[in-house]
Amino acid sequence: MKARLIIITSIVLSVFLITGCGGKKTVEDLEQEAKNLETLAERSQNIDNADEAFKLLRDLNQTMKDVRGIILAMDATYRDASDSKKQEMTGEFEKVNNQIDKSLNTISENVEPFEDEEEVQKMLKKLEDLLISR
Amino acid sequence: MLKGHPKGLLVAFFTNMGERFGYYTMLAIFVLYLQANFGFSTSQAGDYYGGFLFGIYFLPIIGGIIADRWGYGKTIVLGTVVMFLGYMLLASPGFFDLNGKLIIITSLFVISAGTGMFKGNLQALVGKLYDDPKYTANRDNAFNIFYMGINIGAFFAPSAATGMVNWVLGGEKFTYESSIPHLSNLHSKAHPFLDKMTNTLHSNFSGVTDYTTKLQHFQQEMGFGGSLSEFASTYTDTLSTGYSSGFAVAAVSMVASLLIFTIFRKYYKHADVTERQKAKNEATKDQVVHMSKEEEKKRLVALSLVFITVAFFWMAFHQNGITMTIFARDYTVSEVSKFDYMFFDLRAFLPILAAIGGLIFLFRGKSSTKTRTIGGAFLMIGTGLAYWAYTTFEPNPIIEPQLFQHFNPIFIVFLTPLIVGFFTWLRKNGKEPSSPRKIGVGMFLTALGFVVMLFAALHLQSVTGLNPYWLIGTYFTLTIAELFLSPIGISFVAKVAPPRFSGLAQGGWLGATAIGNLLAGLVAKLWDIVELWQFFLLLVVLTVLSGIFIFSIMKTLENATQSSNQ
Repeated sequence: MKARLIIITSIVLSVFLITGCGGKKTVEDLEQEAKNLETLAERSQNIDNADEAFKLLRDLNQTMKDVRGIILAMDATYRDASDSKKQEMTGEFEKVNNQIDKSLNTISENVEPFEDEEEVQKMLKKLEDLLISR
Repeated sequence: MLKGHPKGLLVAFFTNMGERFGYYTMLAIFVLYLQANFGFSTSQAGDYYGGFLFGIYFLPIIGGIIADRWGYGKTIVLGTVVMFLGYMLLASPGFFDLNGKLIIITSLFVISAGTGMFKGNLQALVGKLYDDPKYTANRDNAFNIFYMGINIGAFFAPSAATGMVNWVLGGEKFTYESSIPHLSNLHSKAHPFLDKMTNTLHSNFSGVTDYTTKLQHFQQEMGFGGSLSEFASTYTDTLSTGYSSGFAVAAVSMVASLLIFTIFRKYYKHADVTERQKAKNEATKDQVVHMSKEEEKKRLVALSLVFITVAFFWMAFHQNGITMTIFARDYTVSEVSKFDYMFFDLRAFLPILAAIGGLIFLFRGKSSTKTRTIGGAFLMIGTGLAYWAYTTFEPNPIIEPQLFQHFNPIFIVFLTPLIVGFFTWLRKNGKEPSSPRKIGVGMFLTALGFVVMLFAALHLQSVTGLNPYWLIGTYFTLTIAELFLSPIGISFVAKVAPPRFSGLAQGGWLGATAIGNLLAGLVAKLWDIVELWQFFLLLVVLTVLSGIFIFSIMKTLENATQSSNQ
């Protein structure tokens, strides 16, 4: 009986531990997402067909969804921050934003030949509202 | 189905139905209300939802202790009055512009306290009705029927909530648009980084919109004059009033429940006696059940083991009110065909069900001519009404996420007679499994339900939005699991609980549900952290492990059941 109770307690504890993951979002998290976008940009250079374009856009949507979470958390921090902290945050953000812009530009150019495909269009449509969705 | 059951079961059935109707009306819109009114993220809304459900199911332990001393009937009446006050309080911010969050938290606590006094004790009272030897064999089936009452109430709840919200919005010439509260929230505060990132994305993908443009689009679509800020606040306030009206409906249903329970008291009065009350009364003194400490301990251990396992079922099952509703909103296509929409609109869905019922009675072998005629009439009228409803639908109708919640109760209502019939047939053939075995099977069926979601999540990697039948299929499987687990579990508790702890034991069952709900809220936090398929895989693994656990302690549980039958 003891062993069984230990097993069941371990399951409960593991649920608590797993859900405890995920701390405060910072610009470092955004830098990580910028790296992910860079990888996607590299991948986009080898797209040969609409299916690959669709998959790439699907991953882009997922990454931008993560970016959205980080950005909204940063906005909340920014609103309550001191002026010097605000300046610091803006500076750091601009740097990462430029990286992201570059990657998005590459992806956009490489996806363009497949934009008329229905599934690709749907993914692009999803991307249009992604940052302002819940 | 009601043959061999006392009339008191019907009183409990309708009392519970009214209370659950109110509760589920409120629950269907609760998370959406929090997100719309306070701009909560899924995780924040999950905290409130989890905390509230914890209260709803944990406080019956205290309610049980009170009732074991004070009496079941009295405690149930008090609980209903307290719930009424709680729902009225919850409805008040939408009407009186009060401090929202404080009122919400207070009202949630009041509702939980009222439910604590009501829920477990009504179950205990049903159990007491079946202590009479002429009804004892029907106890499992009785709880299946009682459970059906819960779900008839729950079935109509999402439609009532949606109806109220749409009615209030319609009064201001608005239509329901789930994204407006979030857009309004973005519009009301500075979002410098979001604005810059939107510009960056827009410069590379020209179709990308910002929240102001999107909000303006809705303002134009709904023909609202005035500034954008006025539109945002008017829409959000109106939607909030709509949600508050839904909460007011819940309060009214408490009144209905109270009336049923007090007017028909004579049908359960004889069972509404605690062991303590029996001992104090000369006429009933000799009816007090005396049990050795050792026997009591053995039964309490068996109950505790079931409680631990069942917590995992509720953890998985109660994803329905949060992550599965969000899944419906974010990953299921909202525009469906007119045929698909028939399952989401009660004007069509109820006649379809009536027609199916009619068809069964028409072709059932043992039906009399009269029954066949009634069956034929139901088939024809049901089909006609469903077709009429179909013709009134707009092309490509929109389904609202909370409507998915009506599938679970409707499946319960229609599957209960089948499951009851199935268990009765097994009993007649000497093959009915013990209550603990049924619970174990229920755990594995739960895992199967989430396997469907796992495949849905994997399928999402190649499509943009899912067909609603994935979610409907999951609700169907989870409902069968629930019927194997929940009513049977309550029956098991009624059977095994030492008589002087009847109320407390039912409270303990609900307390296990509370732990499960707490875990449900915690697990929901993973929604934004892990991939969808990982989320559902975790639920599959946890429920399978729980199933294995319950079969590993089967001997202990079955011994407790057998000794209670002696």
